[in-house]
Amino acid sequence: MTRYVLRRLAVAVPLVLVVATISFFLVQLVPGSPAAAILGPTATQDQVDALERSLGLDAPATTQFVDWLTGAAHGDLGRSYVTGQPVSDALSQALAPTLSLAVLSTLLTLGLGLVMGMAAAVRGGRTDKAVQWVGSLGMAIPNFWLAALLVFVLAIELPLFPATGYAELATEGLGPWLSHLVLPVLALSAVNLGQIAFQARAAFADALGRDYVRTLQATGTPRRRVLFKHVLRNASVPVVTVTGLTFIFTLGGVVILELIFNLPGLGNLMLRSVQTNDFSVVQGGVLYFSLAVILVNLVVDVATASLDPRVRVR
Amino acid sequence: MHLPRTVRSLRAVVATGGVVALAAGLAACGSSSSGGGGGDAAGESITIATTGPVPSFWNPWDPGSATSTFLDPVYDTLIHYSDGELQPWLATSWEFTDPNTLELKLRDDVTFTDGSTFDADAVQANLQYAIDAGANQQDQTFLANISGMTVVDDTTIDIALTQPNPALPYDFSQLSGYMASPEALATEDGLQQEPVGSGPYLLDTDATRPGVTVVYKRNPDYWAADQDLFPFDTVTYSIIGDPTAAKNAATSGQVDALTVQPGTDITGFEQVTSESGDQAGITGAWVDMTGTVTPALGDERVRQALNYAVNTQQLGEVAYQDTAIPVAGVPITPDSAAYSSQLGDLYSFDPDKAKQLLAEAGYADGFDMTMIAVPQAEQFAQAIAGQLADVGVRVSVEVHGADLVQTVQSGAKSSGLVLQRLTGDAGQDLQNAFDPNAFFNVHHGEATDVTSLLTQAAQATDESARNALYQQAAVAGAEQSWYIATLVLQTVTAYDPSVVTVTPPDRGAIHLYDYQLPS
Amino acid sequence: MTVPGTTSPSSPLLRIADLHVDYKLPGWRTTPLRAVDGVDLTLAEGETLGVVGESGSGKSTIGRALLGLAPVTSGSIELAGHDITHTKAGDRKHIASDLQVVFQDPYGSLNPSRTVGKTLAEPLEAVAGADGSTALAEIRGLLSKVRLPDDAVDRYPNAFSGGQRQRIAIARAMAVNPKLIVCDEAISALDVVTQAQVLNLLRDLQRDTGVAFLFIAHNLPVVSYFSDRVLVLYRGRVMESGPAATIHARPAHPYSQALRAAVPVPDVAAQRVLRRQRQAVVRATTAQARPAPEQGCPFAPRCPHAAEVCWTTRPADTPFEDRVVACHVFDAASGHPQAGGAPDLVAGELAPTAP
Repeated sequence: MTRYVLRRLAVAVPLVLVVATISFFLVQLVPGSPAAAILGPTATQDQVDALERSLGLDAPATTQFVDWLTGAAHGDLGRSYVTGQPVSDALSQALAPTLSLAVLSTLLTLGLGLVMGMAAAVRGGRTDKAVQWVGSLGMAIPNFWLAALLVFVLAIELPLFPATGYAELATEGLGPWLSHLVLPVLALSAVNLGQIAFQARAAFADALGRDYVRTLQATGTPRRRVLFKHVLRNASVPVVTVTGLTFIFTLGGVVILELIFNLPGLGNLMLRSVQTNDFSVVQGGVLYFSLAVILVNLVVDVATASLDPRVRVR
Repeated sequence: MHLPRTVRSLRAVVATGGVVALAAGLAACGSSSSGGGGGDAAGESITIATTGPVPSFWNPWDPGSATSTFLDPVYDTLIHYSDGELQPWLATSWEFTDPNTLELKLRDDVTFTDGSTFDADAVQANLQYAIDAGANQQDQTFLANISGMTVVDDTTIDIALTQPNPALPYDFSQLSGYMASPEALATEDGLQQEPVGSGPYLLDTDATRPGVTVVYKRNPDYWAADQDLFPFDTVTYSIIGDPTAAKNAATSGQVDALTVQPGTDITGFEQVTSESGDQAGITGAWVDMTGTVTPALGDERVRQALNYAVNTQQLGEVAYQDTAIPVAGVPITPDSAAYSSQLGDLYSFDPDKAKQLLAEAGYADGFDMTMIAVPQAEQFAQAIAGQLADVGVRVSVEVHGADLVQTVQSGAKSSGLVLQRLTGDAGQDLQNAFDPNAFFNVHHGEATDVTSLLTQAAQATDESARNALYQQAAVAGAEQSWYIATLVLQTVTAYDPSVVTVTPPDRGAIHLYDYQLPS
Repeated sequence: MTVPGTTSPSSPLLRIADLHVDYKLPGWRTTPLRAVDGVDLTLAEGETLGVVGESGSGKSTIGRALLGLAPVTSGSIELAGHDITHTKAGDRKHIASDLQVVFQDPYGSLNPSRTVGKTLAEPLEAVAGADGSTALAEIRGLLSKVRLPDDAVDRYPNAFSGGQRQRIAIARAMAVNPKLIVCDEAISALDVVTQAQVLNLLRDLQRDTGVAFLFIAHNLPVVSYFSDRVLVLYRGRVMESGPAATIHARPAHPYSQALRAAVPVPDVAAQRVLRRQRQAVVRATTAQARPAPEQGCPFAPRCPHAAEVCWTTRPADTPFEDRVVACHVFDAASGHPQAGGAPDLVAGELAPTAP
């Protein structure tokens, strides 16, 4: 198992490097100068040139890249062109709401999806129909529309949760943190819930149809024991894989929800930075997102391997 | 035997299906801690939504400081502007001893929060810092005009100008009037973490959350506490970038006052429209009046034809609901002293006259031109293009976002959209529009009649004589027709009348002292 | 019903009487599918009963009903004197020590995420209540019984071949010393050589432990080779039953003959007979484009000897030599035009009836 993890890590490291390179040069291709954006429409070309010099933007792209990469290796992603804040600080601050949202949503969809999928596969009939309905409905509703609906019902008409904003877990405690995240998490989870529930349903149905399950049933193993000790683990493998994928999509999907719920997350930060040509933040953000994707894939691989011995051998 | 552990943890994952119920139980404590307004403790605190972004440093002279929003609570301006008049504040009186010299008399009882004293030296230090640091955009014109400063005594300073600028006292009531501690200004990182001013509030660094809220608490040692101009003990700015999110926050009681998009209706909120505030400014399109790119535009008749060809009233209704006021090619609002009925009669929608003028200039069959637009105003540009097409002028709209500045500066385009704040001072706004070095005046065209009238006006000591000259300058500028389809945009401020009453001024920024308790 | 020619003990290990199993088909107001239609059988301790038929014949359903995996519509199942007809899968703990199962798919029969040791420990802990160390010793014993190395304990199923996996499945079934093992197509997925190995293993285990087998398969020769007695099933009904050797050598029922004909033999003369029987069935199938009758013989649509009576009357179970055959040809009183032609039919000499 340790060897497997090390092997996966060895693949991930060069991938990070490639992603870092691409993210840097991709951003370089965007037209427009950060200096011009900072100084506004009334700035003269001389002022723009001067600011570019002071920001180090007049150096050749390759020089800038080497500097950036050297810094990045030490955790220094430079400073925001617009606010002067260290990019790593800005990203770390923004990471908390985004991760809170994505992780809570993933836990919710995974938990609920597994239960729904299991119920659908085990009980069949009306339960199965109901799960398929709920799942399809969730997938069909656009998340921004659901967000608006949730805000209207649960924040305005029935003021149970705050309509917007974010509370830090560390400073303000679990209650406010969670209450600020309930609506965005619900809005974000609806789409993924169906996917995970359907995947879980298929996986459970497949596992339940296996001869070893029938053998266990036939030889008097209690149903709960069969489900939780034998079926759940095998059915979890494809579900974990899909969950990893939905987590990555979730990271992309938080952008619009962060806007609607005014969460100071990575999505909001990236959008603002793109609008203001704050390339240093954009580059750092792209790197963060890519690292997150690589990390999630790694976690999924390891989780799959620990659940399914066949993967380890390969 | 690692297997049972994994099974147990997966069971735990399944159990998290209960998280919704848990969260619902916690909801009550969450919502009670948020929501600055909502009726309880009225007069104690106010939450104002703003689009941000928050500057990460607190230097009012920083080039990034484009708005007074976050500075107002912690810095005092030399002069206040309310009820349409300048009011004494840090400066007790001001007087032009001659057209090129402004003398300010200052208070002697003000200290900054770091203990340093506010006096004539402090004013000089601030202005000198602003000149040296190349301060923010809006200050550029008037700073360049300062030729020297003389500290007469602790409470008196004389400011010498290269050219007369009667609007200077007004400027000191706006972004250019904030006084920071000279000691903090002199230190490299003095204003990096916290503001050091003399204002009515202190930054509450504990309650402030980067990128989310900026919270101010009352300055216990405020020198003007007895004037009761700042009724709220706590002022919170909630940074909300998305208009829908801001509206939701207001509707659910999280926000007490905010700037809204035209046409937004928030239940229980009152609205006030003003030519001051963040959204106020002028829009329309500049044209290359030198004819360098498109020769036709070098002909005044052609430019006038373009103004006759567009129905600005209709454009304003379509693009900005009822919050845009058509003006005749100059940044002068109907409320301004520089406005005249003669200006108001110019360029009423008349396509036939437009065609006639085009024909006189030899362009009966029209001509081709390009127009630069920013992405968010592309529809506005297309609407202008559509109306010009009716008189035979073929406009191709080019959208430029990030490279807008370079595109304009390249001088290769014949026209483009304008979106500019107004200072509210007729002289400065006209100067900004018709100066040979104005931003959109890439090929440095000259409107000598306008600029000479403005110079005369600046030197006039009598206010009515000065306003008369401004009126003439405005008409002269409008007849040059450098700008077409011009509209003055207004700010719509919505507020919860149980918490606050907002009375925006007729021009400039909406200051914190415009937010008062409901009567 | 007892089978003539065999000595059934007074109290058999397994007694199934008039078993009916209906499957509800998906959809609204569909008529249920009758998978097992009145089957009787008995099985003595230490005996092997083969159940043979094509897929869909209901042979696996009998096994599943026995194991509590299929709902019994009517009839009764008695194991070691206890009625287990309606004992649900979850309540079978007390039955499990008597009744175990080996399924067909060697890849699906073992949980891929558990080691062989854990898989084998499962029944020991769940049924016999063994603790860790005795379980491990027993597991090693079981593995050597099915001729697998000791180190198989810590390996996962994917490390084994199909035959090895079936042996692991057999070891699991043997773990609790059951009286009866249902082998549901237990060797069908294996190649011929491995089949023989596994059959020999089963036979050795039976000799050593006295376990009885309900051996369900579709291959008549294999079933006959391994079983003491054989039941030939078609559409949920018993067509013919009797000693394995005679049914294999001289299948009596036209359907048994068709089953027999489906398997090639090395003898040229015998092969010729088989080909003729096979062609007769094919011809009859093509000719009789009628669905199986509700009342008559279910094999009538495919039977080369079908007559009008076959479509209207259910054949009685008729003794013939040392077995029982459900066919009108064997019943002199049936009114079938070829009634009494039984010896010719068994010899493969009876001409087909005109369609």
